[in-house]
Order: sequence, then C-alpha cells, then structure tokens
Amino acid sequence: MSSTALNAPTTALAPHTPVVELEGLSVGFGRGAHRREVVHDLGLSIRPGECLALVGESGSGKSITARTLVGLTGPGAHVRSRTQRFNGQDASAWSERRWARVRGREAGFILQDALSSLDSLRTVGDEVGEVLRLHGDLDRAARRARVVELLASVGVPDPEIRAGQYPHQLSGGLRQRALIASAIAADPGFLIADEPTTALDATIAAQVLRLLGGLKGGSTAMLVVSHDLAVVADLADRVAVMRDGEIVEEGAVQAVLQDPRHPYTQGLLAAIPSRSSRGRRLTVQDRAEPDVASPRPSGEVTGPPAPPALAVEALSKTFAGPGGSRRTAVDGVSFTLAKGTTLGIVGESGSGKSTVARIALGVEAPDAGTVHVRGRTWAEHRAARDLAARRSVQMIYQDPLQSFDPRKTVRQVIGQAVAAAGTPRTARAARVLDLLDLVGLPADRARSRPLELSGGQRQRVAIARALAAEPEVIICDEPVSALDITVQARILDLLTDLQERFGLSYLFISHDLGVIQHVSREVLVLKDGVVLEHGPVAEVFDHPAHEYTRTLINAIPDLPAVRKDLLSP
Amino acid sequence: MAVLRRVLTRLMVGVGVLWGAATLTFLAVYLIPGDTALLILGGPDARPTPETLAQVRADYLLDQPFLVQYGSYLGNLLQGDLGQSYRLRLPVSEAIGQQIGATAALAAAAVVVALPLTFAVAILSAQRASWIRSIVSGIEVVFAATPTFIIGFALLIVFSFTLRWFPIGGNQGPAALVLPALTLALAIFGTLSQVLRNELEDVLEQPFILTARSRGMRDLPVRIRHALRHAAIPVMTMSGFVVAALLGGSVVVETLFSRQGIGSLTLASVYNKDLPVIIGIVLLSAAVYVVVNLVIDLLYTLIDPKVVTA
Repeated sequence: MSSTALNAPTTALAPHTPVVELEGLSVGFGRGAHRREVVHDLGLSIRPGECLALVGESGSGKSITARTLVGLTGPGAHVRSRTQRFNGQDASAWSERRWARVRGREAGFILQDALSSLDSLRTVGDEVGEVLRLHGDLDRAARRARVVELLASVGVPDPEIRAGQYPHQLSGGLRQRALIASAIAADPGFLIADEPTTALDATIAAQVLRLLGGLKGGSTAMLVVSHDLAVVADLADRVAVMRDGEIVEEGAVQAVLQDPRHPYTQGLLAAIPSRSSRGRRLTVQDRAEPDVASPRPSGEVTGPPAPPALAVEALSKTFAGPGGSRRTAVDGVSFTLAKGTTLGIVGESGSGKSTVARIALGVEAPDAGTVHVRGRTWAEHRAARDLAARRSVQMIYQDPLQSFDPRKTVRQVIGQAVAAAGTPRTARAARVLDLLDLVGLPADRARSRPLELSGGQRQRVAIARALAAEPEVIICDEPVSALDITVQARILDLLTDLQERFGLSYLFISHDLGVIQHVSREVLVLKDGVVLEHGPVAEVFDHPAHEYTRTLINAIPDLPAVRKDLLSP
Repeated sequence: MAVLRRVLTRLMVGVGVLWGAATLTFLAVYLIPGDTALLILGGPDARPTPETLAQVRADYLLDQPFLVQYGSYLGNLLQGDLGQSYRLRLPVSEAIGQQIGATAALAAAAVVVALPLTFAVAILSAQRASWIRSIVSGIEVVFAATPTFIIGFALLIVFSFTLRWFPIGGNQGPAALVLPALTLALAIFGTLSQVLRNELEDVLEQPFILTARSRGMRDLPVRIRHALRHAAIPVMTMSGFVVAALLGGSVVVETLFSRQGIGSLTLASVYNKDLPVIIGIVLLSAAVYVVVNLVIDLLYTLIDPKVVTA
C-alpha cells in the first residue's frame, strides 16, 4: 500500500461516470422499537464538473445524506442502500479504513461555522496542512509552503502570517476560506459544502459563494447543502429539494426556481423575504380572511404627525479595548421610530447595531446623546421611577434559548413577565394562555421547557414574553437569523400580524437585506458605528448613496424572476 | 512577556497563599488549649519543675504578647527556620527532609502509573458501545468510591499473601514501592478517568472532529491529536484533587504498608502533639499546592492559545 498507489489518478474514469451515485438510501438511528428513519429510499448522482444542491429545512435529512456520501454518517447509524458508488467503485461495504483513504484525498468536506469546524487549539496552517500530512508525501517544509499557497489561492491575505494564527484570531470570512483551503488541499475531485455561508454576513457570504463557484469548474463535482434556495441559485446546476428524508423535487436550478412543481418547493420560494414580498404573507397556507384584500398601511400616514415611539439623538459610545485603547462602537447615531412602523437597521458584525439596540432598550448608557421614550429620556424615567416606560420597550433576541432559564417551563417564563407587568395574581394564568394563543402556540406547550421546543417555538415564547408587558416598541435583534427559511417566514408573518393588531413599533436589526426590505418602512445602514444611509427602503435600495450600501445590495443572492408569476393570486 | 508577567503575578499570589497558611496554622496552635511549655518538655508525665517551665516559656517567647510571638514566628519562617521538633529533638526541616524522599518516590510512582492508565482507558472507551462503557465506568466507580486502605488490603491479600510477588511493606527497594504506588494510583485513576471520558465525549461531538475525520484521519489519531488536548484542559483543573489524593493517601498508604515518609511522620506528630512538625507539614502541603497550580497555569498557556492575553 505505497503512497503512489494511494495517489493513483482518478481521472482515468470515463467522463460520464458519476462521482457519487446513490440509490435506495435509508438512514436510521436507534435500535429496535426506537429506530427512527431519517432518510428514506433516496437516490442521487453527481457527475464530474456538476454541482448539485440539496435544499431543505433542518431535520429534512440533507446533512445526514451528505455525510453518508463519504462514510461519515456517524456512530449508531444504520445505513442501507441498493447502490452506493464512489468514482465508479462499489462503496456500499467500504470499511472505515477504506473511507479514510478516500476522505480528504478524493472528497473534501466544508462545514458551516468555521469557528467550531476548525480545531481552536491548533494553528490554521496546521489544520490545512493536516490533509497534506495524511495523504501526501511532502516533508514538513514543503507542506508549509503548500499551505501558504493554498491559503493564498482561496483569497486569504498575508497567508504566511495567517497560517501561524489560531482560528479565533481570524474573521469569520477568513476562517471559512481557511476551511475551504483545508478541504481542497489534496485537490479532491468531489467537494461537499454543508451550509457554507450560513454563519456569515451578507457581503462575506457572497465572496465565499464566488470562491466556491470558482472551484466548481473543470472536473470537480460539488454538493452544496443549504436551507436557502437563494444561496444555491447561482452556484448549483441542479437542485434537489428534500423534505422529511425524501427528495420531493429535483431538476435544473432554473427550471425548479421558475416553475416549481411541488407545493413544498413553492412554499420554500414564497417564504424568501425580499422587497417584492412586502405587504404579503410569506407563508402560503391560506387563512380564512384574504390578506390581499386589505392592503397594508405601508407608511402613508395622514393627519398631524404623531410623536415618535422612540427618538434617538446623536448617540455615541466607546468601549475599552485591549491595552487601554478605546474602541468607538457607536458614533453620532440619530433616528426616530414612528409609531406603528418598522425601522430596519442593517450592518455587519461589529457595526455597532447591537450596541444601539442596548442603548435604545435603556440597559446601556450612551457616552453622549439621548434616547427619548414617551417624551422623556431613560435617565429621566429612572429618576422618576417610571416602570411603565421601562415596560414599554421590550426586546427579542436571535437565540432566545440563552435568555430563558432552562429549568423553567414556558408557563413560568411567560408568567414571570406577566407578573412583572403588574397583572393581578388571579388574572395571570389566563393572561399566559392568551399570550400563547396570540403567538400561535397551543396551550399544552405551556408545560414544556425551552430545550423541548423547536427554534421557531422558542422565538414565539420570546415574543409572548415581550408582549406580556404590552409594549409600544419591540427591539428585534436578528430575531430570525438562526431559523430555517420556512420557520423564519412564519415568525415574520406573526410579527407583522402583531404590529397591525397592536400598533407596535419595531426596531428591526438584521444582516439579511431581504428580511429588512420585507419588514421595514425605513432603513438605516450602519458601518463602524456611523450611519451611512437613512431613509425609506425604496430610496436607500434604489439609490444607494454609498459604495458600501451598493456592495451590500450586490451581495443579495439573485433569484430569477420567479416570484411574480408564482405568487400572483 | 505576557507569560512572564503572568508567572510573576501567580508567584505573588502563591506567596500570599503561603503566608495565609502560615498565619492560620499559627493561630490554630495559639488557640489550642493546653500548656505549650509542658508539651515541649514531654507532657505532664515529665513532671517538670516550675523553674524549668519558666525557662522554656522564656526561651520559646511563650510569655510574650501575641504579636511578638507571631512576628518572631514569621521572622524564623522567612529564614527557613521551622523550629525544633518536640519529639525528635531535631530541626523540623531536618525531620521533614529525612522523610520527604520516600514520599516523593511514592507519589511520583503513583502519578507515573495513574496518568497513562487514565489517558489510555478514557481515550479507548470514550463514545464506545454502551456495554463497554458500562463495564469500564463500573470499574472506575469502584476504585473512586472504595477507601484507599481497602484497595491496599485487597492488593496485599492478592499480591503479597497469596501470590507472594511483592513484599508486604517496608522501604526496601523498588519492589516494595509497587503495591503502595498502585494503591494510590487506582484511587486517582477511578475519578480522573471518568472526568476525562466525559470531556472527551463532549469534544468528540464538536464539528471540528467531523472536519478532522473528513480529511481522512482515522479514529484513534483523531482522538489523540484533536480531542485529547481539548479534553485535557478541564481535567488539568483536577490537579488539586490529585495532590490532595497523593498527600492524604500517603498517610493511609504509608501506615498500611509500614513505610517511612511524610504520611507516617504526620501521623506520629499528631499522636504526640508535635506542633512544629505539624506546622511544617501544613506549610509544605501548601507550598506543593502553590507550585502545582503554578505549573498547571503555565501548561494552560501552552495548550490553549486563547489564555495568553488573560
């Protein structure tokens, strides 16, 4: 088993032999009566030079399927298939040892969230070089040189320096690039990218997608796994839509996106928020009352202007940085949030948007500037011990799980907020049930604990908790970023319904421009703590004044013009 | 530079800890009822004359106010003078020095057995089939929960009385070291191995492990090269437990196997109320803790790159 034999070229294959071929794949976990099958009778094949996208929600079985292709289904999994071929060879009975020779050398794997997908205790160079150490016969110095070349080839600046750094010293985009470098180090003919851009800011995600697109050419076959159809639209040649362990629709990308046959695919497409989705529901399941009939009051306010729900003036905030330096998080930010409307705040990680949120909420004091709520500043409210003002601004977070006590039931979590809102003891139980009903959770969920809930249900609980105080303003800090596209659609619809019903004002923070355009009337673009643009959504997005805004807008993945014909009533 | 500053800070803290330990033991001795001068002279059975008692009180500053006594005690400590053993009529440092070699050999042998055993068992048994884990974990619980002297007895019965492979006690030669060291090692292994396996199992669920496997790394190398370093960090914080098990265990083990060492010296000094020796041993233990924690702290900076700036 010499290394030359291991490195035998795989190009000897006939050009049309699929790189991977699966038929009748079933994957189950657990044993006996507890066996749960997560993939049923699935088939797919990918040819050299082709990119297949596997799209579906969490739990649809797409990641498990991708891992099974390289023998990484995981301990305790029961994998059966009629055919499993890799580069034309029967792989259905390959041993772990055999798979280990294929992985890295013939198949590269890129996972999402490179921070946890790279070993935090080893340098980036060691991680990338590991593939070369395992599969090549390069000596240490040659490996190091090759690692630098690889990092440079995926667009990592200063690759010599970066190779010696640890993952936490790199930005999210650079980490993802390093992870890609490690996947392509041995020049494999097959690449799997599992949610390669999910944890990234929009502009970074666009760059990573471009990088992956560049790798695709030639004879390399690629499988992209994502919950987001928009992400795969540019990259993939074919798309397979997965639901509950089965492929429900498969075809060329353009065909599937423009003419989706399966109702589930249609739902997925309709769920993508964007500017054109403004004023309509993102979820397709019909409600009794026609939503289209009553056009949303999308900002045309008549009559004398009401006082704003929230007025922020010239906020500035600096934090202590390492070595006694000061880092400016927010610099001269001003805006007003009109009653009953949504103001979107767009910015990438580190733009200061979360600091603005915390100051607006009144839990962080600005170095300069004021926040007016109900006509007074937070300092004045504090001096007057005005708890009603305190309650009138609420917040929901990206990850509600961290804001819940895991030992408390939903009833207790919401009940606490209800009690804090001053509801009389006797009315509290009924109020909790009302709130659950408002956010569309069945009453029996009141007994559940946060860990037993799905991501969407947790966010509903967080919304119910915010509503308990009967607020005027809700600050939404990336409330749907961690959710699958269809769940996101339901939560966004819920937020819109509640806004109409209670005249709520939202300060809506997101890095997803599609979401921002869907929900906001006005939008604020933040970069490095400074407001770059501020105005009505249409104006900012049609006539961006700043280069940065243009970059952001260009980073929105283009979907072909599918929505209009798909969604016309 | 950052590492040097960290070491200096830790050293200062360590000195503070030692001073605290010295003060607390001094206070405890000062507050113990009974006539120290009488103890020095061999207890009430010695029937010393009032003149002798007065002489001893003057010699040992026992007739001075508290602060003078405390000051002279600290002053002596700074010069390395721990005082005279009442019982052995030797300087305390000499009494401890005579015994420390035997105990150090015992502790070192125990660590040399316990750590490789712990790492091997935990690495091989993490995330394995549940019956393997049950058996291994069951054995560990037995060793962790059984008192040291019972483990020692069991080993004696099997390997000395029945098989006659090893001597039943004493300090003669390496063969006499085997059973006492094994006794200490098994108690440490029982606890440490369970902690390490739990940590490993958490780490093996992490995405970067999947990444390592996806590069074609096989199972055992993944465990050793990737998972072990992560799992070792929390386990290193258990070093305090290890030191305690070694020091406390040596009292039991040295008695059981009739070995000389700090453990038997401690026991004898407590029996005879030989306060200077007890104080010396307490200070020695505190110093061992301080040094071990300092070393562990430096190891953190070697293993975890994120710690350096902390």
